Amino acid sequence: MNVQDRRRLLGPSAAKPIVFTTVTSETTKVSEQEQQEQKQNETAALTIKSGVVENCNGSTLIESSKFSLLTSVYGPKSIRGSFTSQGTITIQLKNGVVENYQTTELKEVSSWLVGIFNSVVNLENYPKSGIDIFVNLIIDKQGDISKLIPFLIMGICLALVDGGIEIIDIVTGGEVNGNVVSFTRNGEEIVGFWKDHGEFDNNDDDLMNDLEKCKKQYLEYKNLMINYLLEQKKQKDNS
Amino acid sequence: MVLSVAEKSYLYDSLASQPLIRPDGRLHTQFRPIEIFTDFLPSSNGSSRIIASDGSECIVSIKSKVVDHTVETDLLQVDINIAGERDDSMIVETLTSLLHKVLTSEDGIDVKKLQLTKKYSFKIFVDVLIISTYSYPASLISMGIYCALNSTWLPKIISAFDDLEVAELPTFHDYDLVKLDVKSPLIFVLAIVGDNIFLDPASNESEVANNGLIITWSPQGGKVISPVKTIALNDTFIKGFNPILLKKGIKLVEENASSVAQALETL
Amino acid sequence: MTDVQETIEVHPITFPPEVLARISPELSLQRHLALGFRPSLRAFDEFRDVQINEDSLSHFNGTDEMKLDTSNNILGSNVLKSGKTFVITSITGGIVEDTSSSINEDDIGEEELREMVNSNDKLSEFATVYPVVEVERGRAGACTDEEMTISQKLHDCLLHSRLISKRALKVKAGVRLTDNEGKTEILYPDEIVANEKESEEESAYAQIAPKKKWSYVLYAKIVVFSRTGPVFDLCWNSLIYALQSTRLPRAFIDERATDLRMTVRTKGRSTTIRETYDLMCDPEKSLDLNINKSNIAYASNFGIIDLDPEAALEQSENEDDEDEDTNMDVDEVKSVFLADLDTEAEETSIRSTISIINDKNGKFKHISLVGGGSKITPDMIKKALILSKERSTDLASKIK
Repeated sequence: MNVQDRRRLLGPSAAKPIVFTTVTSETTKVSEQEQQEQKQNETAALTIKSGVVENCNGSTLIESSKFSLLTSVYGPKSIRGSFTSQGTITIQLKNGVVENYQTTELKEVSSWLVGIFNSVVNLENYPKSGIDIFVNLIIDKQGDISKLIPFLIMGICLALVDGGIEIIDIVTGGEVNGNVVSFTRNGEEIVGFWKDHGEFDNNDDDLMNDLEKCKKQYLEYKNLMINYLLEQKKQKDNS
Repeated sequence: MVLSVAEKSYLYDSLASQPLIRPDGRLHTQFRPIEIFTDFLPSSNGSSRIIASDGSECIVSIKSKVVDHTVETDLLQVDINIAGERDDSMIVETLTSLLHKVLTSEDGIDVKKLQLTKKYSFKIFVDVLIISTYSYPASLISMGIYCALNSTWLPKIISAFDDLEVAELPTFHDYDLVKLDVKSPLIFVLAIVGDNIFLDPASNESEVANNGLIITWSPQGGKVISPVKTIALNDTFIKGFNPILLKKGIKLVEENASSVAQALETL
Repeated sequence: MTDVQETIEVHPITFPPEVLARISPELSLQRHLALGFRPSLRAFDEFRDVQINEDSLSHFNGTDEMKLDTSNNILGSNVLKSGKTFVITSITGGIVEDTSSSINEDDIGEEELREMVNSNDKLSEFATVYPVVEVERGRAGACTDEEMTISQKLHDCLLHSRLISKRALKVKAGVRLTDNEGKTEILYPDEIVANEKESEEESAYAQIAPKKKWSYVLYAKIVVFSRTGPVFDLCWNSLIYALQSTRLPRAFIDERATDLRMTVRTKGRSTTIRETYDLMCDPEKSLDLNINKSNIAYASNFGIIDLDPEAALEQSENEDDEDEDTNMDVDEVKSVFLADLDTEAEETSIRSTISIINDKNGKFKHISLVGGGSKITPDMIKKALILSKERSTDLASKIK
């Protein structure tokens, strides 16, 4: 595996990446407080834009002060090989400007996301087709994938809508204390649960509490998405 | 295993019925029989070979190295190989990432037990080779690692613990070994069919599962720890599930995990 | 044989413009050109507007809060939008030990010798960046030919443009001192020279100054989204903008490591190990990347295509006979000169291209002519040069 990549210009092999020393100033504590305050009005600062990428079937850009995610959907396109009775979804996550995550971690998340979208996309309608989804985490200032997952799901879902691919429900999720829960059917069903770090609440009530909070976030985001889609439709009808 | 539509439908109905009926007659908390051999690789510090009743087989080897833990903070490294799969395939990378998270989880392995001196520690390399697999192998691998670590013997240190004053590398006894005393977390795979949830799904059961859960349990403190996540065991039957089942699954693991650990311990 | 006398009626098939553009890009392009505009509805010598975002992603140009984030190793960045395509460039860095210049530079004789050798090789005084270009087009796996050639071309053009001299990438390493109370302070040689009063400190630095020499290495990651046509120009311009915003972090070494040897005993034998400490970078202090401002140049491209009179829709039927005849006799091919190629139709049908990198004064850094179809006349080259100069002036004015 450790073969020199001769396809790309890699520069001198002896070079070491730049490593910053940690700052030991008091400002760090202040910013943590600020971060918590910011979290409360996070939904307000979200901007959604569809159809930004020309050379694909559907795309969405979701931005906030902390991240910028670009999702593009290619397909449904015919796949090589034998006949399959339903469509195949692949999802690829890519590091953006700052390489925050290891590729193994991104692959784990993307295979988990495939699980969610396999249950949401109406795959029977797309026999012998592939739907390839690419998500570029252009900017991510948090460095915690769990916090990003609800928006990854949101972005993919809206990009699928933009690409005219049939889905059975609007799907998104919420994140509380490292628990990420993705819901459908107005919060009656879970399609995905993710927790990869942090304390696990063994106390049943705490877990149910977090689930309840995630559900609240989910409903909030879902409303946002539906409003956006309706607004977009209105604009299209007008023009 | 390729099942016909009719077979799948029959299987689904029987697994979704109340009470559930599994094709091999197991209870919802019952594992398939497994066979484990330990300490059979002479050049490793510890090893195990684990064979499931469906023919899935996995070999785990533990090796170690002395590193400066002030420089290298990652003291556990997992490497997974699956026969017939490329190193960068989805399943290999996903399992590697999962196992890495399991072993380095805050409540997972106590890294203090790997410390030799104030500057040096053992770094543990866990190499997993999956020879054949028929159902999702995460649970099998974690049991393999548990047994391999349980059978790991490391060289005995004879130099002083406090090495900050004198810059000295730790030295070891020529033949005396010390048993490594760490317990790695166990992974439990659960399948959800309808409103039922059950442990250790076989390959045919996985094929009709509506969803799956991966739950990690730590023998230290005997509790469920992160990572916990859902997993798609197939791509046709997959759909959402009732939130209550998540709670039910965690409870199921909490009740039964210690007996699994006990069984592995008796080896 | 003769009884098969079925008459076949040929119906003309019509396609909407966007379908025609896909199935016959050449014809679609010719039809547009015959009408006097391009598929993108631009005029022949009209460029796409370019928008750039001020660098807000990099470590030193962002908010104060971002300076605390030690994982952000971006030294310069640019987001460039042109038409529907957008390019994101981020510059990261590394540090490499200069083995060749470990020769003591105070030694005048040695320096002189090197200068003599180098005088024939001016290019070796300049550095370049190592670009990795990714063009998003919904596929995974190895990089495409396009990505590889653009990376290589960027690398070579930048070196030959003499924008970055090796001197500008030299690390002026500081030394971190720890006093008895455990307080740390970082001394940088040039800062000490600036306030000469403290000659005492200067000598202190001279005592502990690191013996090794280091250089920065710059990498560029260029990601192209929504590709609609050739992208080399966009990548180059984005890279140039990004380099202008690049700031190099101050690097320092701990005083204990400046010349550290430690004795290690292994199995009775003692050996001397020289610890190789890595340079660490100051998250708060930075220097401008000193680029040769006079060598900043921007890229533009042009294409030439012959008009195919057959492809054009006949417009006036009464005078066609005469016209066609005269055309045939003279055999004069009319060709069109297009600026800033875009869209699939133009990319696939136009094979004669001119690519120019120059600055607003018309100083060239790179020019390539490919005559792959239509003739490139001196007049066209002249026109290309004038337009590229104007384009350069416009692009240069976008950065403050």
